[in-house]
Amino acid sequence: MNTPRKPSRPQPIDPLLQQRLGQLANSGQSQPLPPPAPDARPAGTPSATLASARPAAAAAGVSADANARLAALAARGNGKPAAGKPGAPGKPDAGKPGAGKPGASGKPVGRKAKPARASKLAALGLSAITTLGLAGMFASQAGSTDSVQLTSGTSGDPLIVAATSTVAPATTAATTADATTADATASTTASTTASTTAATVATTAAATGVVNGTYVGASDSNRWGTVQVQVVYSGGQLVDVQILQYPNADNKSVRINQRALPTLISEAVSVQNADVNTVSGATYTSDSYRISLQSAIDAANSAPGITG
Amino acid sequence: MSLHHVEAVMGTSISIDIIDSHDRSLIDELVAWFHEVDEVFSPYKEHSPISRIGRGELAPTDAEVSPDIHEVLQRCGELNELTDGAFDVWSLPSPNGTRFDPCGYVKGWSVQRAARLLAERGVQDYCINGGGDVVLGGRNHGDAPWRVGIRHPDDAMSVALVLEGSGPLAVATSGTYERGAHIVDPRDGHAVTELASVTVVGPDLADADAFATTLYVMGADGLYWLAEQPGYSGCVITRDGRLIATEAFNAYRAN
Repeated sequence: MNTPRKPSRPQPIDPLLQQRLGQLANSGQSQPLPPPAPDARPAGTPSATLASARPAAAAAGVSADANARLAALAARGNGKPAAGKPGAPGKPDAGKPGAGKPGASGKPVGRKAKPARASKLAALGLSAITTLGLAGMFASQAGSTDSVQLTSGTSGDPLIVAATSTVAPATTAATTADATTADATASTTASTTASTTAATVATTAAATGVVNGTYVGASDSNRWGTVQVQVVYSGGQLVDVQILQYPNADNKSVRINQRALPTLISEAVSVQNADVNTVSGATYTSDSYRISLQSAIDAANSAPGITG
Repeated sequence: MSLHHVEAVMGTSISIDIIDSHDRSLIDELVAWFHEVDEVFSPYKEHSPISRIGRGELAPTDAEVSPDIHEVLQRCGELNELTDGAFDVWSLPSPNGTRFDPCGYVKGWSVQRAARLLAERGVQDYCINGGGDVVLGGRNHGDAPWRVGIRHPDDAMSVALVLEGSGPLAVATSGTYERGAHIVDPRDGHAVTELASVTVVGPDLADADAFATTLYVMGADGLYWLAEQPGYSGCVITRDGRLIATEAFNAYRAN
């Protein structure tokens, strides 16, 4: 499922995206993406997405896969990845916390905002890359707390949604990577499942430097279509992002994916025996009602002297 | 000065609490309403208008189709568009053998309509729980906020979290802890099982109920969609017992 690719560039889906990515690769950003100067960016500068890292609580007690999933949600949620320290694993371009808002183009992102589509798609790709970094961060911080809270000061930021953004390097990424810099550890560890591979490679990248080469994310399908992202590292830096597949078969899919996003909070749910007036939770049958907490509450309320 | 009543109707139980009135005719009126809804909208009843529409014996445009049915069908159509097909009452396996089952909307809609009826009668403080879909008006006894438990997916006698608030407020929860995997993705016909339950909070129970079904079909990613619906927020509980919520949902959580 993970096909190694040489740097030869597949045909992108969107000419505008191609143009935008061309700018990304050729306009001085073949070096590390610079930290953006707040409020001084040209519209749609995709680096805004990557530069807006925020501190976040660590995750633990949950699987790497779940963390990767959560990270994906967070990355899509506000483009303010919950990555911690500057220079965090897998974030070669880690910016300053709060240094900018994703999609801070001044343009409303919505179903009519087609002029901004190219930059949005580019940001989508970068967002996905950020997710890779997040996966690494979560994996490396396992064991510190039992919950994770991903917060954002600004909900409703214009944002790009990937139908999926769990980017997994190709299982054979190390073999397609620059052999002279390939780290042996990376080549042996980058071969498990998609999400855990993402975490492993990202972590390794932080410790030993990014392995140069072209990484193709797993082609991941969801209800709205298939998403696949490719990134290119050169000189230890992210130099190119390509969205190989994007669910734009119909306009509705694109519209969903371009909607602004909220911040999500995730935590373990626990059983509570709290004092409640009523219970939300479907009781589809009279039998299931009979054994429900709502039934017990009703019985208590019907007791003489309690209610009229 | 308060009323409490539980009515078995519409295949479930509806619990009615009215705080600021002791006029039992209010209860009678609500009970009559819910039985009327059952007659008209039940897909389990062979000769209900909904079953006849599902079989094509009755066109939605026919004169004998009631304004209530029109209202439901129109909103279901709008919701289908709003949810990009994730909510579609015309593509579901119905108990009557057709593909038309508006139950995912009608339950919440009927409870919301009952709340409106109470408001029209001057009632301010009430709680109606229709098979787990809750609509709240005003406040509870002693001017306390209403406390709504969200059923724990693994334990019918426990709650997973508690919401607190004043009406008007609606809380709808969908889950598959009963009746097996009953929520079907209308776009591919497959049962949806990724989540243990989903809860939607918002101003209108009809939409909240539909949004909960939609969110269940969409999966956790649907929270992004939900957060864009003005006034609505929600959470999902995953099969491995984790709670993921939109940011706005926190405002309703009791300490």
